[in-house]
Amino acid sequence: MNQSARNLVTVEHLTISAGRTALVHDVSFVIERDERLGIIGASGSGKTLTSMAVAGLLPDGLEAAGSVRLEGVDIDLVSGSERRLARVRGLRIGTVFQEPMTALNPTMTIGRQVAEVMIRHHTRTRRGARATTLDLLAATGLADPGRMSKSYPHQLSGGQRQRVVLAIAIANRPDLLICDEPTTALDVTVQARVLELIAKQSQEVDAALLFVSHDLAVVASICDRVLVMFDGRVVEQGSVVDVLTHPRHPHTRQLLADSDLSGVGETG
Amino acid sequence: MAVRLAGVSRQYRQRRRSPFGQPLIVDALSGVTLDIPRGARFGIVGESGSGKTTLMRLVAGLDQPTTGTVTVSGTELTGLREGGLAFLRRSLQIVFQDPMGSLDPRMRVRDIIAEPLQVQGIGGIDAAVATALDQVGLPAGAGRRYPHQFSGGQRQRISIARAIAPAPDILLADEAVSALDVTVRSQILALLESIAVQRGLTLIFVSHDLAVVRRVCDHVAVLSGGRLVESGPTERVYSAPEQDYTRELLAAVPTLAKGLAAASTRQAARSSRLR
Repeated sequence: MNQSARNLVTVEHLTISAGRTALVHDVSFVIERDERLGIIGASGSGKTLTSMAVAGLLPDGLEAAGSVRLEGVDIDLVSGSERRLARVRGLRIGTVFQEPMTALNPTMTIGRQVAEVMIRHHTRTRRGARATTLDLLAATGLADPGRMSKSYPHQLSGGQRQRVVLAIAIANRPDLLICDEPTTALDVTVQARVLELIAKQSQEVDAALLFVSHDLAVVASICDRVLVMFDGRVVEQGSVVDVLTHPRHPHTRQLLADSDLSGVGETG
Repeated sequence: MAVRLAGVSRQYRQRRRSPFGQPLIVDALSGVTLDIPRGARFGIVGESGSGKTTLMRLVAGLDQPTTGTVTVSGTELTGLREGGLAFLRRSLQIVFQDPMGSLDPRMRVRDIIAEPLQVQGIGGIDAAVATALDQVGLPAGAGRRYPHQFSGGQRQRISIARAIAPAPDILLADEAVSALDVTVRSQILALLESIAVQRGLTLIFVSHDLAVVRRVCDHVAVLSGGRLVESGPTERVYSAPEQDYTRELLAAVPTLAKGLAAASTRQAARSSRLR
């Protein structure tokens, strides 16, 4: 396979601005098929905006230039119309964000929300979607899927909600799974289980992963390659092992130093 | 002892599901006995539902135990009314997780820091405000501005300034750095530590984050399901945990070393597959 055929996502000269203030400057990178790419950076570094642009989810009021192409999709995710983008999101791109409560509809049962993404994209019939929903809930490690599908989001714990969001994200076997701080709001033991699940399920459905986090340890445990963002720019990129063991940019070194809280859990 | 909990339990009654059913009793805290020495930097770690917030509220005199006693600076809080708790309102101050939610957006920073001093009838307000701002590393001019004009990390500095201005004996930090990114977090942790040392405060640091607690605290107590799992000097608990739950908790903490080891393994597997 030649190089360009392996590229699932191609981001070129992506610039995002609010009025005259540029928030993301000239960012270019590719995500290969089956690859797990991490983006790390401090608050305000532009990592979330970059991932939102790849998801075709840039908030209104921001101007974007450059291009984000997804293999096999003939529109640009930066400039495409909302109607066309809506056909890509949920079908070819799944998303998991930090706060599961805001990603779920509080008035709909879990089962309907998982089924909806398949019905809307015509990947399953209504009846087929209902059956697949139970499989998906089971696959994300939720006990008693039958009862779970009749529950509402407020009846679930944070970890259970994030599993439901993941079930929705992978329902249509997307090519790309975007996770933005998916475990930041969770307890450590729950975080470990959800991370394992994200790694396992993305592999199961052959999805590439774009994983955004400020937590270097989490990114190292899940990603192959990493981009370091600072002040709206990519200041360094490479394999996780190279970048985090031989950081070249001073900002990467700073992030590493700040993350080092004297190695808890290494002796324990 | 700065704080002593003896056989402390706190039960909450949940609303009845049906008019004939028994109300459900939830044990938020069960039989916790714990001493927090004066001048300690004492961590309380636990996951959601472990009872750490309930414990914090009891120590701050914001709630009363169902059974057992809570003693702060030698005074037993049990049964005290607000008047009897007046000493605690000055000698114990709290820094909360979300500074934007705990700072009045319509008040200038100077007034935010001065308010507890006025309420307590403490004199020398201007000097106390200036000292507090200086100690948290904010310029004197910051007092004239409003909370929204500051970044998240700076707002947490304002919360800390407000907490230390009345010269408390005990500083209670409730997930005080959980909303901050790593760079700001390490600055705020260093600040809390240096303030505790300089002022000889007892710092009670409540957090779900084991790494953060290890960085700041000399003692730690691990809570789970409302019970005290174990407590002791931080290095002992982290390097030689006595309980399975503590071991499980420590093993779940993602670390750079563990992550990099996993990444190297995957990288090796990938390159051998491509070859």
